[in-house]
Amino acid sequence: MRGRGRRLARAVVGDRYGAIVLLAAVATYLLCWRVGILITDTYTVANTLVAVADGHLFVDRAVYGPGLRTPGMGLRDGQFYGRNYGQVMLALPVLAALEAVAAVASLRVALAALWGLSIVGLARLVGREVGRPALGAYAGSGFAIVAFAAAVHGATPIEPAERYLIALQLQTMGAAALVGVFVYRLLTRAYGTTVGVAAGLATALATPVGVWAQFPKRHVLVTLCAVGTAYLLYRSREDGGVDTRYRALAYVPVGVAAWVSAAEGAVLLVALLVVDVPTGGRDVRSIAAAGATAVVAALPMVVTNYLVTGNAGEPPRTLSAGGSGSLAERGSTSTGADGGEASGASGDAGGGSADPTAAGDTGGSETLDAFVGAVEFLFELLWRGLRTLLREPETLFVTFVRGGYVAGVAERDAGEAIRLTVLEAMPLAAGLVAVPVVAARLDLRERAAAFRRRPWPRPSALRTVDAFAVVYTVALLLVYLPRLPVHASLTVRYLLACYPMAVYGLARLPSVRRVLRERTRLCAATVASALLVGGQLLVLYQWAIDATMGEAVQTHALVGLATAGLLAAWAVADGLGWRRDRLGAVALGLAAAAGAAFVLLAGLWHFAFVGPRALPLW
Amino acid sequence: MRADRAVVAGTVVLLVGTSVAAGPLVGLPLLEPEPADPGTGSVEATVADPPARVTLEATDFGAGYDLRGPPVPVTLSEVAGRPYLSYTVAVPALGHQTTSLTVVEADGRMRLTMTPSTLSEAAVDADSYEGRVAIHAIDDDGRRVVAETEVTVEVRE
Repeated sequence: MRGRGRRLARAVVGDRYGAIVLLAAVATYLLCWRVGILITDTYTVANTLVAVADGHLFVDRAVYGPGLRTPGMGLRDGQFYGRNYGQVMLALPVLAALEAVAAVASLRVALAALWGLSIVGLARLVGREVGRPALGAYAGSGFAIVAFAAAVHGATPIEPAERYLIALQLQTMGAAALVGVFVYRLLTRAYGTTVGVAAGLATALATPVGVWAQFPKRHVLVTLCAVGTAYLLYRSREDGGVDTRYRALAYVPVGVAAWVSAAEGAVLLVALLVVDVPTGGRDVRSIAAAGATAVVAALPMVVTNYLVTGNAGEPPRTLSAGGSGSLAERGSTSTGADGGEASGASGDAGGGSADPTAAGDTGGSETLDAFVGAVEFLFELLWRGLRTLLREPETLFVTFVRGGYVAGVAERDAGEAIRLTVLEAMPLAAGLVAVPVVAARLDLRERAAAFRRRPWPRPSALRTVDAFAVVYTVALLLVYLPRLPVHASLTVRYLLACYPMAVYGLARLPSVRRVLRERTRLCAATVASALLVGGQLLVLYQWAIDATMGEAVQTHALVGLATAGLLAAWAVADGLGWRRDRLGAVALGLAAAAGAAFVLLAGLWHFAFVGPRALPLW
Repeated sequence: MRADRAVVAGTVVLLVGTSVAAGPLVGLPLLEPEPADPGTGSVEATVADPPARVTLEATDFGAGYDLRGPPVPVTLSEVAGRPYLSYTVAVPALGHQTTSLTVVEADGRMRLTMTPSTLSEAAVDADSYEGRVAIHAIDDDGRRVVAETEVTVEVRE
């Protein structure tokens, strides 16, 4: 029994360092966790979980929200159906575990205990790795007991009705922590432990993955699927050949992503096919295994589609005709900014709404038409994205660089400029501006000669993952670009899966790896001191000006952009041959700390309106 | 067994044991009782000196204008349960209204504050507006007006 548990743990986290990344992320997420709903379409998902836990797919009880007519709820034959059924089904084990714990223990105290245990575990593992196991055990135990007592003191019991939401939130937090773990595992295999651990921690704690960890939307789960696919793809090409087992396994996360959200799964599938088919070789058995796995992995989605919409090719989302959520109610109202109701135009990417003319056909061909329509629809989305990119390139600026107060968006965010761009939310991404410089300085002539040689050599495992990351990021961007900037997105949540890809890209830069390896201590010390000193100054400043939510978030934006500027300057200079490793370590540390400060303060302070903290320390 | 292992094991037993002790099987009263729903109970509130002006202040970072009202001194008596006081500021010309809720728990004097609310920059073009401040009490008897007054909304750049 013990051996089996250990094997399972090893299959998920890999090794002790993976466990450190997991526990560090979980401990932080639990600390920042607010039990509540940020965006109104989460009402729909939570009520869907209530229904599925009751044993049926249609939704008939509104445990959460104002009623059953919440954004994203679909109506078919007089019955309501939710969305993201994959997410809901995968939350069932978490819900069952919660119910089991609640049967013998106080749930609130048990959550505090879980937090304490994650601290003890983390301290023990870290203590062992740095050669001070006794110190780790004593300090961890002492800290955990104090933290546990503080969390329990003055706390109130958790209402049984909150359990569904708590299950969903725990599931997303676990998934977000695993995003960090899989980034760690991929990069450790490629570049060793130091780079791997730094990248894993940065992904989980210094990018918006950490912000979204507690909000049970589809994004974190889809991001985990994308990172999982990248990892499995890497494993399949690791030894120079193609490992059929891992190649086939890479299609499993695609099926899971499609179960959560058909459109997201389709984008992931396209990216994987584009990279895997040309580079995977022509071995028929390998191709058959991959194809069969893909079909099996898609089965849960297909069955759910059939049961919900009556058509295996139409995902539940087509019932609700779009309808993305907006921020949950706050005190303020402005005319023209009524929350909740969303027009079809602003709906989530529909995900294969088939051509209406297909409706007349019968039986199996209807399903086929829906699938064909879905493919057409996906290409239509990509084409629309390309058009937006060419016609309105300024969209890129407000999405990636500086947003500030965008009137049309803030109006729907309760009048607040609470939206960060990709760079503001993840200053580390600024290091990627050095990619063209580094690429240009590689020996181009030799590259060109290699390119002309036939047959092409099989690309290395890293190059395969490079291609996958680029294709996936571009596809995701094209699909969502026409709708950006959009309200209720805080940190460009539609592009959440791009953030771990950006961390991967950073780790691919030789300069970043060199600094991480040779200046590890300086880098870590910069992150720690910037968070402890700079973070507190930031809190003091925001408190002193009595910042509104918009002002607070925009302070983070400017701090993020400043650190991003420093990092970009160093990265480019290093690419041109100007070596200043100490500066690089400080720049990386500051950028990571700026991202982490937002992750922490967003949960602890700025988004207090979401609900009471799960662990009410003060 | 080494001492550090024993400490860790003891911590784990303590945390898990406390969870179970506070649970339905043992029922140790470790947690505070669930507080009453906010907005229930009763309260008598009086406002002697309602505000005469509120401000629309240009915010930093071009994030629009903040609508801020001053803290209002309120005298409370006969507080039972967890009633609310609400502080509403409305600027009809801008189509904007904001309400902040405060749970009150004890008799005496308090200063009722509001959460600033942000307006779009484009909307504000005059130097001042007509506004209205209303303080409501919300308890078992429903929602009733404690004070309501016309105010000047002063725009500050």
